[in-house]
Amino acid sequence: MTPPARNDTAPLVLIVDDYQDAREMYAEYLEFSGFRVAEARNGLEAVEKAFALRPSVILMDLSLPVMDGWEATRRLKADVRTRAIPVVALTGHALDGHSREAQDAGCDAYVTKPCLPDALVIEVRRVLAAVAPAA
Amino acid sequence: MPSTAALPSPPVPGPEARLAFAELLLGCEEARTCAEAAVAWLVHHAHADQVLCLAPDDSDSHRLVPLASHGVADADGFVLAMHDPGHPLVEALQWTEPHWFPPGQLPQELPLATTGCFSLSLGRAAPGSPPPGLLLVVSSLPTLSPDAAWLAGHLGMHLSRLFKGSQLVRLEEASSELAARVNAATEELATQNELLRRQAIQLEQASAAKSQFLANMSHELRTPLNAILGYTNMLLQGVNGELSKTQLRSLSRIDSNGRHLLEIINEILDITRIEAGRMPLHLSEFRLPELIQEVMAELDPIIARSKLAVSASMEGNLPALYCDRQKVKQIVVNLLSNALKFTHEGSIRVLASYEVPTATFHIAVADTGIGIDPSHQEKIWEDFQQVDSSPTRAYGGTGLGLSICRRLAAMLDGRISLKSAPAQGSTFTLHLPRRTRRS
Repeated sequence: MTPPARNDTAPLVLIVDDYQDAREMYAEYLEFSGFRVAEARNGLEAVEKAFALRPSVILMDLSLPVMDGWEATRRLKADVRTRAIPVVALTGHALDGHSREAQDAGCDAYVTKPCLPDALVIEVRRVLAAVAPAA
Repeated sequence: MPSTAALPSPPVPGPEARLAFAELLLGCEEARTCAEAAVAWLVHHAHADQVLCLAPDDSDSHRLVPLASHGVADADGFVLAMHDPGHPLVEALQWTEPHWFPPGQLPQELPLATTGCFSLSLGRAAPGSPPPGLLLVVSSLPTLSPDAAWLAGHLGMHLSRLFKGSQLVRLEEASSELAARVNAATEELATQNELLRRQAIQLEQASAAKSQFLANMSHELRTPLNAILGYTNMLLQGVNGELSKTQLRSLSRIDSNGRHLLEIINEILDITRIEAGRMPLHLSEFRLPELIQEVMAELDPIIARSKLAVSASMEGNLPALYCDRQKVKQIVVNLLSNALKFTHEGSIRVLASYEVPTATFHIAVADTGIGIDPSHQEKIWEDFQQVDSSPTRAYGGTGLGLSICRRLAAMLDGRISLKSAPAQGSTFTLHLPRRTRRS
């Protein structure tokens, strides 16, 4: 299998995860699947990169150092520049409350880890299709 | 011996003598003193030579013992047991009139038997009480003065009253002792309750800590597992280049074992969530045929490998169900997976039906597998329990599946029933109401 040729018009995905192996794994597979990828290691970095890069979609782990995923999402959704960017919450915490809190913070979708890279790409495509049906 | 100085002295008894005796009794609270006064009165006023007054023993109301006497030798050791209804003196207790026992009629061992004596009952026994007593009188006169009978009746009434009084005192003593014991027991109980309450709080805290620990552990386990499964998935897809057949086979085994580990972690997490009351219900309206088709599709790889005839049939016109779809599916997947695991040949049938009168759905999974002995049919619902939980068991698994199913069914206002016999197969049936109430 050969990865499709990347170009600057491919959607940019910001992947936020403090766990390096997971972050790089998703990044590698997203690139393999034809997306452009940016990475952030915590909520604060995520907010800064979102303002700077204006990604098409953000994959947000919720338990993060410095600033957690809920707070980062709230900030992004409160700002006109980033309000429209869909945020997919990504968490290994399966206890109830996390999904509702994620929704309350403004997350557009919710994915429970373990999440296989191909399943995550399917979810990213679904979210992108929902915000821009014409694209 | 009684002092007779206080008694009226005229040799001929009259109303005054009766009155004096009655007054004496009124002021007397001691049964023995009363009896002694009566004996003295009979000696003084009724020409009695010898008198023996028998009354119930204080400690034992089933026998009469001497209370007072006059002119009787060896009276003290005498006991009249009342459980012998044929004894002439026991019979004599029933007679209202004085009765003459000629010499020799009474058993020889009795006092006054050799001389002959009159018997005078002090009255009949009231229900629940012993008879008041008996007077035995030896008189030089051929008949007994009518005053003797009057005296016996009067003494009897008084002794009965005293006996009841002492019974009452004893009852009061027993009652207060009982009250003291009840108080002590109540205090003890309160202490125990407090202890239990504290232990319950400690247990609750320990249980909450355990749930939190398991939830955290589950998260800690899922984080590396996510990377293991993810990279395996990517390698299998050829993200890093084509792989040889043997590499693919090895990776497939890493993949299937990783998924199995994930299932186990998820089961433990499910139990934790249910126990911690953090398993929310997501109720919606849906139809069973689609759900069962999904279950069949999900388990298709295992069904295909099993060589079993696996079929699903639905009753026509099944109404829609209002329930938690994901949880119903989880239960059916689990029941069908179990059937596949424990059936080596034959068939598995999934049957969905609806019972109109009770508004209940029945989803049965019937297999021709190894079956379950009745003695194990309770155990399989418990946490971490299988029919064979030994280290050498033939079937793997956490032993949490049915325990989770049972708890989930209860959350959905439903239940799971089992019909099974060894080597006859098993039928697990999920019963669900048409509408689950949000609790």
